[in-house]
Amino acid sequence: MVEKIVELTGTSSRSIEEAVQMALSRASVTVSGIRRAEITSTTALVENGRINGWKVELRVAFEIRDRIHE
Amino acid sequence: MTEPVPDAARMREVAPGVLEVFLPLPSKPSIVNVFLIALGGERWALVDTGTGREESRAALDEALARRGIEPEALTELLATHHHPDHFGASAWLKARGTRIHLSALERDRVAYALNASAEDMLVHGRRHGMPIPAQPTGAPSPMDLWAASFQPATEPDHLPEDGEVLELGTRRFQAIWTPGHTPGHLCWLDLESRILFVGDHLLPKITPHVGVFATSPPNPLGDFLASQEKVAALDVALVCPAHGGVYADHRHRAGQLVAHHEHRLRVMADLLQAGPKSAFEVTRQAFAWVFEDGVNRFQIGAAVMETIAHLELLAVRGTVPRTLGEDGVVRFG
Ligand SMILES: [Zn+2]
Repeated sequence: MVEKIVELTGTSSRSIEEAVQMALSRASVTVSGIRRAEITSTTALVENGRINGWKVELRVAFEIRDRIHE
Repeated sequence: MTEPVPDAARMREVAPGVLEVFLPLPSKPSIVNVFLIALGGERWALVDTGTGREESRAALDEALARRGIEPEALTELLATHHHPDHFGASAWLKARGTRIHLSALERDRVAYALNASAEDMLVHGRRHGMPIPAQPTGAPSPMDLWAASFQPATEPDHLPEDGEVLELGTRRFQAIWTPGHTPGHLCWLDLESRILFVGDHLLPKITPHVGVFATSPPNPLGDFLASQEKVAALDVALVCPAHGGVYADHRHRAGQLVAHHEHRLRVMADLLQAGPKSAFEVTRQAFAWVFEDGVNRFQIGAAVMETIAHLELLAVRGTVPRTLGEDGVVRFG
């Protein structure tokens, strides 16, 4: 099996986990077979001294599925 | 006025006895596909009409002439929904003797579009936070927007119901009610060949617009997602869409469209974490690009209507509360 790896970002006002989910839910529209998402960077977004969001950078690995030509 | 036959007057056979005809549109997408289907005995059915514009009608006639099909041989119109690029030439076809099959809910949308004032949309837009002045100038009614493209048959010959089977010559077509893009949208399934004519329900490249308008059902996105499940449960050999090429894997595409909207729902629910917002305020963030310079201002309205559809579904699911403020504006979150 060969995987393809793409880099994505995701943001959420709630949590790191939700920021990851945000990126994955968008990627899943066009990509299937995602197996892992490695978080390469995590950033707290801050306003007036308070956290008001999270931004993550991801390396997402998915299986390359050759589509059979009919 | 006679216009030269446009280049878009092209056609190809996508399955035995099924011809895809490309008809021109005045704006993007620039082509609508209609389908001519041989019924045996020199009779033909047509799925959707193209617009009522002269150039589109000429292109359809050119396609008929090229295949040696007499206009009288076009005996049935299987309409998917009332929009101008699908039903806009239906009055013209009916006058030539074609029987019109359109769902009752779409017949009602035709009547509404022909009579609606601009006022309904202004009231609706204000209720969802759009900054519309009390005395706006140049606000269009549906017919102002559709004028030349929309010459609909107001009295269809037959109002097909969900699941109804029409026996037409050698073929049998089943009406599959797929509300969402419009309330009474139908897909048409050729039961022997398993070809599904999907109108705007299941487009291969673009996502069909799903919005809450002044007089829409309350939860069209919920309807649309349920209609995707409904179509995914069918056995289909070939999908014939109104825009884009024909394709085979309807379940894959239905899954993508569901995933697309689930992602948008997630994004909007997240935006509402900061506190309640009107649909217009959510649109400013979720569809920021439509507010950029050079974007057709009708895109803003379409984006707001699409946003309302997502927010209403979030409210139905219990993800966010929906409240009507004393200022008459609906807020979510
Ligand atoms: Zn449409």
